[in-house]
Amino acid sequence: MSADLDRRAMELFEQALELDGDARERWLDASCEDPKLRRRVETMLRADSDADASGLLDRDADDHLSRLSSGSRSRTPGRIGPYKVVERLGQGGMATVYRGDRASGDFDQTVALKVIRPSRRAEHWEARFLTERQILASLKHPNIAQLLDGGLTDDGDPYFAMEFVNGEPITEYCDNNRLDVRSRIVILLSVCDAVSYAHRKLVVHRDLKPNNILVDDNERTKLLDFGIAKLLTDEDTSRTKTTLRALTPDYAAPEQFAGGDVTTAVDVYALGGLLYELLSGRRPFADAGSSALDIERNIRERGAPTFARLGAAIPDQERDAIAGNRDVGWRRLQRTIRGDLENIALKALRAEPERRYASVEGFAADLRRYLDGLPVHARADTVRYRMTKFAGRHSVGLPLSIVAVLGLVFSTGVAIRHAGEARIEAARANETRDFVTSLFEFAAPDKSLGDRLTARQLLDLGAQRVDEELAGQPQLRAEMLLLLATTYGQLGLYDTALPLAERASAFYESTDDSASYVDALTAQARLRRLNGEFAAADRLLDEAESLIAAADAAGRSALLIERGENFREQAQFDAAAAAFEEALAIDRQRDAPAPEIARDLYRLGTLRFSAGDSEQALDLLRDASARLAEAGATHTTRYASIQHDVGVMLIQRGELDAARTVLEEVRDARTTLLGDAHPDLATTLKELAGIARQQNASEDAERLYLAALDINEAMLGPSHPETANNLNSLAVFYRGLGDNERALEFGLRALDGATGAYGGSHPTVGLMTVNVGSMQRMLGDLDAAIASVEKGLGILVGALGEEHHLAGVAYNALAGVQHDIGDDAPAEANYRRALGIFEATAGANHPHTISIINGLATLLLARGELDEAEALFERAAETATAVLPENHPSTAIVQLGLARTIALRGDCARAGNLADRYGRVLEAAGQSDRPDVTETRRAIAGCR
Amino acid sequence: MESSAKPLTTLLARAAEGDRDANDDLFASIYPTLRKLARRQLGAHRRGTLCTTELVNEASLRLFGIDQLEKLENRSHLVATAARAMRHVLVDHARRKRSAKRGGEWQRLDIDESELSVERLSEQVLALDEALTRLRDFDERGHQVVELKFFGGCTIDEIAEMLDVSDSTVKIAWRKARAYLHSEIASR
Repeated sequence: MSADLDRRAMELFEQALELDGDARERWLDASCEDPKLRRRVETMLRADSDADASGLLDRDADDHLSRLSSGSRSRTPGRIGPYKVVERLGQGGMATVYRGDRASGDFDQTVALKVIRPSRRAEHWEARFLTERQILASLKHPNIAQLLDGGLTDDGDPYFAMEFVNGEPITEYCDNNRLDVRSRIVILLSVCDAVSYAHRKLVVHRDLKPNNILVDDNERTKLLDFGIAKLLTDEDTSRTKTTLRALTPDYAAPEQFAGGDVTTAVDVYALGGLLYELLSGRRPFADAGSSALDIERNIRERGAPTFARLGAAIPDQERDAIAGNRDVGWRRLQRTIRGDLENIALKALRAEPERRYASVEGFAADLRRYLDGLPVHARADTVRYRMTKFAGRHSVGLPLSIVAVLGLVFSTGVAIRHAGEARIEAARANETRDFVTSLFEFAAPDKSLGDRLTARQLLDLGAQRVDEELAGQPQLRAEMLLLLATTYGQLGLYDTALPLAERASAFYESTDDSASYVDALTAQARLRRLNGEFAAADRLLDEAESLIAAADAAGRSALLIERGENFREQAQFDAAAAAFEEALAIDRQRDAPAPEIARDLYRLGTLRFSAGDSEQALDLLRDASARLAEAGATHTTRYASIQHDVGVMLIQRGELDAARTVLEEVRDARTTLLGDAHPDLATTLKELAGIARQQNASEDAERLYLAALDINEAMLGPSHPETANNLNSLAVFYRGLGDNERALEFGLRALDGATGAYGGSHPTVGLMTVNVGSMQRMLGDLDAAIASVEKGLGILVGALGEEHHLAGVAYNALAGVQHDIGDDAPAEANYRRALGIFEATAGANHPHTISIINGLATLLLARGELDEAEALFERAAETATAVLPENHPSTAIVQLGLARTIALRGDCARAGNLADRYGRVLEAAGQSDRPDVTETRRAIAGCR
Repeated sequence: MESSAKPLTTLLARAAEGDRDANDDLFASIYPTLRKLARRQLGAHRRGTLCTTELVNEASLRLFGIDQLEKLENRSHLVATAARAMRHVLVDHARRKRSAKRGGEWQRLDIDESELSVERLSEQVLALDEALTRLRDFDERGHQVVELKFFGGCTIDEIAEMLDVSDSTVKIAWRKARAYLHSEIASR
């Protein structure tokens, strides 16, 4: 620790003393640029607030000195009772232990004599001492050092004599004799016998550790030192309550630190620690720090490291020594320990007493099952459990991105394969967990990468490590590759994702695990689709389909879902609907779990929505929600997602108040489930912002949009699809406010972000480029606008082809700019082209056709081609009435166009009615300053 | 106690310089006794601003048959010297305890219910000594206050008077140094 850092930490500490609670936290956030510095200040603040003033400096130096020098000064007595004292064996705070001999009659007996220290003859010490004697007297077991007799020394001090054990601590004995893992377990089982015997006698040892468990030359274990043992019948708990300082922190259970209830579970915990050390050569919390509080925090928050994690931290030569002491090589040792043995130890070591084995017998029985080759009862903590813990302990401040990515990886793990959990065998599930958690451990902010670790960095770390870490486990490696690929995909990093998915596929292709191969191909297809490569996705799906086993109904429906998405993306909504419906039929047929049926309904519903059928869409989504609710799955992220989309559809239908109610619930649920900085929450905030915008609550809208943007920029970074989407929404928002400059600014940022996320040739980039063009058009910068729109069109056509409906969107935009410039001929051609594309793909009634037709009709009207203009406006009005909510601004706009047209034809009364009615609609929507409105007014005025 | 023993002041001065002879068990065993004696005196008739260390020395002067120190200004020097001696003695003991343990003495069989084990105490004292040395590099006053208060047994008032600063200055210096040192010890 450098003096500069220390000096700075101390200055900050002094200033922090002036502040409390939140103010202090905020101040620390602001002042500590360096996380190391902050930790430094925080440990000082903790040391300062240490309420029980139990630190070294809180007593006088001479108190300490007298403790350090006493003992070495004290005289060894010649005799204690009938025993001749041979030597002093050791000394603690309460008593001194001597080796004594009794040469009476015809046999020599060697004993251990425990004498209370004269300075400790205060009443409670003596009572404690006598309790130990009483406890020992009640215990007669071959593996417990036996009480022989007791009495008073010549000086009047109480003593007792115990069986003398000439042995080594259990860990040293095992190492010195190079005992293998099985022999170690056998020895530990004899300790379990002794402890469980004591429990039956209502005695909890409370201080089990190697130094208290000796093994003699006959390989017999002896349990010693019931000095802080507790009789469970003892009612005076104040006397037996373990104080913090009496503990041996390495082996003490967390509830002992906390002064909680001491039950037999503390001995289960200590035995778990002992098993851990006997197996691995390391105490479970060896690196957790030295203060009891550090250790306790570690136990509670992190749990004992798995062996994979532990092993990763042990240098090579030590690994060899550890394995050598167990008479095997390191790799084999790792293999032996991982899985069952590890699960047994970690179960005994759980922080929560109720999650440990219920008894020492239970622990011992599992160890016996292991020895007998039977399945053990201990299971690894679930990934979700560990991740929740991980998220919990990092819930403050910095690593929210990790929390976000946890959700991402976890949901991917589930999504990667409906039947994934069943297919990953239990043993490998463990290792998957290890690998994933090791990433998070490795990437934890106090390790190396600084505080703002992004999802991206975490994944990169995984991609880097997957080969080296899992070199010997190709199966697992393939699974992880697929998981990484899918997660990269969720971040929009398709170029990075694809090679990983391909490697996974290549591996499965070489095995006979065709189900996994199908999974990998499907995942690959999904990535291709997301990258806009629909034909490639199709080929992959064809291949998967040709391989899929007839019986694999779950696999088939997953594939159909993917197939449907691919159609949807190409605006082939009918084909997509057919695929989703088939998937739904299969899943209904096989009586699939509610979440899978809900998934099918959900896809179909969102598709109906894309196709403009919001009524049916809403029904399907509500059905999906209801199924999840019936399955008791309302408190889930999936349920929240569906409800979110229900909200979006309600928005689309113009039912803004209903939508807000639903979305506010979703917001609350997501905050509870995911925390207040999760990208999914940002999505909901964004929709709420949209509602506020439509309800003219611009300040609320802006605040919500920016809150969503904050989350996404922090969690996902600027170059993420969601962030880009967010920026794009803000751009649209500002354009709606008439703040075209700010709209363009955000539009350009959105485009930057999307380009960073997808590269330059992705359809989204194309679309955003088109949008930027539209904003430039609004600002009157028509040269820039036409360049942008043409560029965007080029990207879209390059990525999706001439016939894609997004190409139609771009042609429409291009026509609009050309219209403004006065290039009417190309404008008309492009409007017609756009309309043709939409009619061929999305259908003649797609909402977007309204805007195209409106543009075309306006152009024709200006040219005086009243017949076609009128027909087109009529058609647009009809479509709008059919697919848009009543009083939608777009409806009003086309109706005003119609009014202008018929005004020119002389039908002034009807035109006036239309103009009045829809002028009010636009006024209500805050758009009464549109040029259409004034133009219409002028046309009506000119009609008379 | 024989009157031919070395004058305590000399012993203190030499111990403070790290002299092993002065720093021996005899000293270590006498010293706490003297302090206890001193404390008793302090309890009997409080006399303003004398630290226990100083009382130790008065008591020892009497015990050792040496005349009272003549000049008052020497007293604060003596207090500081004695405090430093205390530090050496304590650290020396801790070091020996630790090496004994590492040398593989028979494992301790007992557990102390209310105090740190002797081993842990030794480790902590050594950690304190190192941290205190580091502290001096950036917080001279904190270092001084810790020596006087912890090793010298002086009160806040006494230290304030000796250093000629306010009580609150001493208090905050102590609080800072204590937090620093405890966090350093805990991080070991």
